[in-house]
Order: sequence, then structure tokens, then C-alpha cells
Amino acid sequence: MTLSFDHEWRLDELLDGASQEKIGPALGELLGGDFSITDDAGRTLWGQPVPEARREPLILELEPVGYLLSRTASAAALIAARNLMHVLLRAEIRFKMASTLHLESVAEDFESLKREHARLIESEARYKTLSAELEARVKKQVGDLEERKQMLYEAEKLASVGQLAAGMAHEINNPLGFVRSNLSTFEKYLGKFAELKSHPGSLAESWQRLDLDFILEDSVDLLHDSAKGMERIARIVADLKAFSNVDRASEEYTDLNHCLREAVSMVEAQMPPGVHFRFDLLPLPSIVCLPGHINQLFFNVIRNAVLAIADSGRPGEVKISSEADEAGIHIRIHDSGVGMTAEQIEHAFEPFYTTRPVGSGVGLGLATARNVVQAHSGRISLDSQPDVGTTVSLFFPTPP
Amino acid sequence: MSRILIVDDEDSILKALKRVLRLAPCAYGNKSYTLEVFDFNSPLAALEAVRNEEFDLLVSDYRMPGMDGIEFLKAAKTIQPDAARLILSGYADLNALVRAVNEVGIDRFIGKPWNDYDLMSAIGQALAHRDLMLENRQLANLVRLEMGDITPQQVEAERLERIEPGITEVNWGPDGSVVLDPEFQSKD
Repeated sequence: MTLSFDHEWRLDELLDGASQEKIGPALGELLGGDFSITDDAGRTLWGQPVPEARREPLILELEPVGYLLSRTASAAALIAARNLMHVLLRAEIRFKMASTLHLESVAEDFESLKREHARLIESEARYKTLSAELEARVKKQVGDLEERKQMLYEAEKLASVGQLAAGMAHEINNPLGFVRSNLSTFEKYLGKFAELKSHPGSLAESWQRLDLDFILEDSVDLLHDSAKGMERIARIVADLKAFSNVDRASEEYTDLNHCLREAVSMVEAQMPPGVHFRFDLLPLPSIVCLPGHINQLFFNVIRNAVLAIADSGRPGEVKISSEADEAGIHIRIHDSGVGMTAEQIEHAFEPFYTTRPVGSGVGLGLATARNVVQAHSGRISLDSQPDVGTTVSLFFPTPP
Repeated sequence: MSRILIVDDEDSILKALKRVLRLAPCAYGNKSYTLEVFDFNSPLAALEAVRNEEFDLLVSDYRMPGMDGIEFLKAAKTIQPDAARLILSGYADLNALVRAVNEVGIDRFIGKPWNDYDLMSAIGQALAHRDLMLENRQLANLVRLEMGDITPQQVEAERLERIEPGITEVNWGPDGSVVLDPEFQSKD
């Protein structure tokens, strides 16, 4: 369809067969029976032209596009018929032009739609690859973050193990110190007794001179002290072992009061001065749990309580109470320390939230505690007022 | 006779230390020291003793209830700056060690469990170092006296200042009075 506005219309284009069938007989009737139409080249479109017929050109632009021929009609009638044809043909041209224009614009729209469609397909493909790429990157970054979080978590675990070890080191090194010293002293004491053999004079005299009365007495005292020291070390090691559960990693029936006492004895090893414990433990049913994790949980919470009191700079008390009802076991750990603001409570369970200076804990204590509690289908909540104290409430359900 | 003060919150440690100090010879170089031991299981009681008597050497634990070893030695240093100072502890983090060296200027840090021989030689060294320091100061003062850099009055004033820190200073009150109690001194 490339009919433009400057197209030279031919008569047969304007008058198709159907319109010839309509126009021919009508004009023939009007012009007295003899009538024919030829185009500019002389081809006949309608009727039988006779040589002596009157000829009237059909001029739409400059050149005639065809002729009306009639022998019977008068000159005036033929002119009138020609004028009528002009009107008809011009209307036909206008119609053709309009329809061409319409078709062209439709075609144009279709083309542009097709182009748009191709562009959209292309950009969709681009976005698809982009989104895949982004997804991969996000996945990688999430993986990185997870890994880093895990690393920090491990670091915190190590740090708390380190703190524990530091406290333990102090506890163990003290008795170790005096036991070792006492034993080497005892060796020297024995040396004094050995001297007795080579000492001149009577036994009683030598005994007196070497001050063996004192040495004998002190030796007994020394050995007694040393034995007590060894016992202390043994107890610490046993505590540690029970606490870390190195020899029982699986779930078992446990009395939570027992766990509480173990955790307290761990905290006591590194306790700042001015902190006292008060127990209000009622008998509890045993529950199935991971004792190692439960110990860790209590240790974290009780250590927080002790530190809160140390931070307050005044002596205080950690009150630990437990009781059981038909739903489960309730444990409350209350301290009279610095307390927390509403904002601190809001963030307290978030991993890595800490109010302590850099280097003294990365803020996983309560996050770990909550994980452990949730793993045992329990609940943990905080209630605190600044400068008054904090209460941590724990609940563990018991099977009905 | 060298007077030695030991502080530890644990009585068994004090007993063991007393046994060692009584029995083992304490010598450094060609000098040997006889030791007189005063033991305290509370840093506050020990500090009271430091206020009232003179000691040659102070040995303190680090972790004690009420007051840690560094605080104790720091307080004792202001009272008796010439006493040698040792810390004997089972555990101290880097922070504590830095404080001990920077704030207190300890002569030695001895870990628990200690070795008797190391302990005695550390004590001997600390005492010898202290003697040397005091002797140096005395000699330096003698030389300064001879050179005329210092007057006998100044030497005496220094000696008195050491015995009773602050005695050679007069604190004038705003109205011309002499303020003796440091609590009432104007803080400017």
C-alpha cells in the first residue's frame, strides 16, 4: 500500500466493475440510451463507443483521465453528465485517499508496536539476567554475613571460655601455688630430720637445737593445708567438667536447681566483691534437657546479674528462685544492679547488642540464652528499672 | 633485718609464704638478708600497717576482695615510696599488668604457682635494688653538698619529706590561716 497523495489516479482505479454496473445503465438512461466510457488511453470501460459520438473529457487534475461518449445526448446533457461524473469521481478519490491514509496509519501503528514488542523482549531478557545476577550477589552476601556472624559467635564463645578459664586459672593457681611451695618446704623439713642423725650430742639436745618440735608441728599443718588445696583443685575440675558436660552431651533428665547451683559456683570463681547470692529454690520435677546448654544459659544470665551489680558500684544481692506448677517450671533471677532502660530492654536479646565497652563481650550472652530457652520450648523475659535492678524470668514447660 | 609485708586473701598462701621466707636463705650478690615477715589477709588492714610502720618490701596478690593488689600498692606507694613492690598472682590480664607497671612501677610480677627459688631471688633482687637506690641517693646528696649545689637544710627537708610526705609544704588558707588537714585545702 504505497498510494501517496500525489498518485495519478486512473479511471479504472476509480470506477471498479460494481460502480460501472451502477453508473453505466443510469447515465445511459439519462443520456438517451447510447452511452459509453473510455479511459485516457482509449480503452472502453462501459458501453460500445461509436465513432461519430460526442466526446466529453473527464478532467480531475490537469490531464483528462477518460471520456464520456454519447451519440444520442445533447451537448448540454453530456456536460451535465460529465459534471455529475466529476462529483462522483472526486468523492471516490477522497474516499480512496482517506482509506489509504487509514490503512497506512494502522500499518504504521502495527510496525511500531512490533518494534516496541521486540524492544520489550530484549529489555525483559536483560532484566532477567540482571535479576539473576543480583540474586546471586545477594545470596553470596547473605552467605558472607552468616559466616561472619558464625565467626563472631564462635569468637564470643571462645571469649567466654577465656573468661571462664581466667577465673579458673586464678582458682586453681592459688592452691597449686601453696601446695607446691609447701611440698618444697616439707623437703627441707625432712632434711632437718636427716641432720638429726649426724648431729653430735644427745638426741633430746639435738632435737631441741634443730627446733624439731616446731618443724614437726608445722609439717602436719603443712600437709593438712596441702591436702585441702588438692581437694579444692579436684573440686574445681569436677565443677568444670560437670558444667561443660564433656562426658554427657545428650539429653537427659535433669534437676534445674542443680544446674542453677553449678552455674553459680562457676560465676563465683570470678566474682567481684560485694555480691551475695540468695537462693529460694523449691523442689522441681526433673525435665528432659541438654544440661550443658542449660548450664550455659544460667551462667550467662547470672553473670549478667553479677556484672550489673558490679557496675552499680554498690554491694548487692542476686536472688535466685525457682518453683513449679502444673504448667511447668518458673525460675526468676533478680539482681539489685544498675538495671536497664526501656531501650536497652528492647534490644537486649538482639545478637551483638551490648552496653559494655569494646573487648569485654560482644553482646551474645542473652541471645544465646534465648536460643537455648527456645530450643527447650520455654520462654524468657526481662523486667528492669534503671538503678533499681533487673529480673529475668524463665519458664520451662513440663510434659503433662 | 628487712621488713616484708605480704597481703593475700588466702591464709594457706600466707602460711606457705611465711614458711618459705623463714626457711630459705635470701641473698643477692654478696649480700644476704634476714627477713621479718608481716602477713595480712586483707589489703585494708595491710594499708593501715603501711601507714604506721616502715617496710622494705611489699608483696601483694592481685585479685582480692575489697581492693585489688594494684590499688593497694598504689596507695602504699604514696605513703612509702621507697618500699620495693612485688605482685604475686595466679592470674592477671594484660590490662592489669599494664596498670601494675605504669601506675605502680612494680619491681617484679611473680605468677602463681610460684617457684620458691625464683621467689626468693626476686625478693633478694628487689631488696638489693632498693638498697642501691637509697645508697645512690645518699651519695648523690653528699656530692651535691660538697659541690655546694644543695644546702644541709635542703637535704634534711628532703629526708623529712620522705618520712612524712607534705610536711615541708605550708598550705595557706584564704584568710591567712595554715591548713593542716588536706580535706580542707582549697582545690584549685
